[in-house]
Amino acid sequence: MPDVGESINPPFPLKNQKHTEVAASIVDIQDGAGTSIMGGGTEYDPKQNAVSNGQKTIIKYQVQNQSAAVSLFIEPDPGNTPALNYYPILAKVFDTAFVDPGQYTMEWDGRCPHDGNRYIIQGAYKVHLLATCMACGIDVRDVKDIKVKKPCAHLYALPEFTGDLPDAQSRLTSLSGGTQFEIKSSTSTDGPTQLVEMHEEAAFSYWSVHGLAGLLLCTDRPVPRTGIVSEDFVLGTKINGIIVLQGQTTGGVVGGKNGMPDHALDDVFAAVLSACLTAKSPAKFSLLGLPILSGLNLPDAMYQKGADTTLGFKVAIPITPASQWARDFFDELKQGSSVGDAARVATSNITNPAVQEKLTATIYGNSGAPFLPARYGRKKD
Amino acid sequence: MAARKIKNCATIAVAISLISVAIAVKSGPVGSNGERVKTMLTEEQAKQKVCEFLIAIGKDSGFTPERIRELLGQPKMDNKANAGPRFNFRSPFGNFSVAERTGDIVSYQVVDANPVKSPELTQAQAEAEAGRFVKLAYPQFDQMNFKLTDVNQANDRFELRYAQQKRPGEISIFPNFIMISERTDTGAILFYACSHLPFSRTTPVKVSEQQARQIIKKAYPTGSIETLELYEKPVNDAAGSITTWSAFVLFEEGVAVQAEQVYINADTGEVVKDED
Repeated sequence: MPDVGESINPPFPLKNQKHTEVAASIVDIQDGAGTSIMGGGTEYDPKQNAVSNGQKTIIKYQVQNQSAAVSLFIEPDPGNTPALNYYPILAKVFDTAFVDPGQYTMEWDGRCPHDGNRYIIQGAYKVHLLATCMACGIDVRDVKDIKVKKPCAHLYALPEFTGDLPDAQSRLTSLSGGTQFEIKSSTSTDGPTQLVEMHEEAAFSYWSVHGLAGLLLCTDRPVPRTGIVSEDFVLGTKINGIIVLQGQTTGGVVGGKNGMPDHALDDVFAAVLSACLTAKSPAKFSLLGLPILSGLNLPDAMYQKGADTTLGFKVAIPITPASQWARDFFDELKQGSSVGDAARVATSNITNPAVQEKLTATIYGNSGAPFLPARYGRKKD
Repeated sequence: MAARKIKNCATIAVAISLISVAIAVKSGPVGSNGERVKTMLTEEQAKQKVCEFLIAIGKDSGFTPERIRELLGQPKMDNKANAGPRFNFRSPFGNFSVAERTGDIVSYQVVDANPVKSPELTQAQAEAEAGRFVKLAYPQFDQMNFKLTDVNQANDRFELRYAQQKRPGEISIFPNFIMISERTDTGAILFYACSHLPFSRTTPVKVSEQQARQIIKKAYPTGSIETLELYEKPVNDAAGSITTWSAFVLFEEGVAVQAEQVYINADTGEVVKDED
């Protein structure tokens, strides 16, 4: 706990004299959209708050009667065992402020500096205000509750590949007794929108889709084998101009001139692309003389855009063993393995070694990072 | 008197059959190449196998076998088609899977989250380190005609793969594998998985490659056969194998790609369900 008394000079002129002591309290805690989250009745998602609303969490407090040295800090609620185990020290300590009577606000990005600046993990927290009266040195405290939502795991499949989804969902749901993830499962042909949602919400993303070299086939439109097919899907979204090309020889890429912004996926912990050819790099390609492909495959491109760990497959993968791979992968995550080790175990469990070779994932990023407790990606400074 | 004799004979027959069953269970099944698959392990024997493995690879950390067995704790059982029933231990020494039928350590995994430091190993050094490890971890390695088939360096790991090759005269095998993942700086082995199934065949199959192609074409008219090879497919929880034509079939619908692994019994021509 911060000790501010020693830093105040001169020390407490009205100590032992009759005076009106300082009063201080937390007035409100709001998310970026201005919704009060104080009391813990409204769960809040620090990532969505920051990414979607582009705003920081606001802590409003007031000091009355005397000037004060104000400390704010956030610690896990005694009942939030995962966070207590996870954070060796307080989740967040703000710099001490010396303030006159009045109302003030502190901004917070929802991140924990002791954890590589990841967003704080889910559960109940206590926000402490400690005001030390500048007149006499007495401490006044106020404590308010907030509750942080579970991180969001996205499960996404094309309509014809929904077979994996219920299985993946139930396995992911059972991680730590269902306390790890808020799961969003959807079928869609609109891959770019899935990417945008991944940017805005997801900590973990699993895609069960068709794949081609360097892209996930994100549309069921009748289109020629080569060409830009989905720019119009993403115009007007926050990630503007993802280029997705079709065609086995040309491939596509996220990036380049009109690509996803750098750091757009900084807060994605892992993305698993379970589809044929997802980790096969596309051939260099140009359109009207403009080089628009960087030659990155999709998991590599996602990694370059900030996701901590991504994986895909270089070759076509057979459907039945791929489903088994996914089941074993999730089961292994449930046991606490890292994404990389879960992928290795799932591969080694495939019976036919020839199929095993096809289902050997190509992994980008920090594949050894523990998966549990679930959390968002590491902020890249 | 005659009735008693018959009753005695029946009792003896039942006893003989029970003994036969007991012997069969104790001896285990026989591989298609005639090699007898070893006996089933008890939990304590499985722990002993882990102890021996840790000592062999030099990762026992000076603990006594008794203490190692104690720290291994209670295993969980599962069943994998390329190993049969397995004991799975999660312990301070790492995670281990022990094949109940053979006592082989078929999976070993340790966590080392320390950042990789420079200098990193060359590929040749990584291969040498993996080669040293497999000879300790897989005692039959030198007798089984393994070949290093793949080496990849990705981020902080070298990933290596060995595959068993057919010997002259063998027309079909279960091609055993060894997967290794090692740190790029120290060469420490962080992941090891393998199979050790004795299935091979030297006698001709009844269904020719051409017939197999026709069967697959009939069953999957829109697919194209990318690869087709004879493969000893484990059955009955890896207690035995059947010889199959194993085909990788690709389906290209418009721009979409799908694939399936298809198995045809190489003696009957039946399509065999993929147990994966």
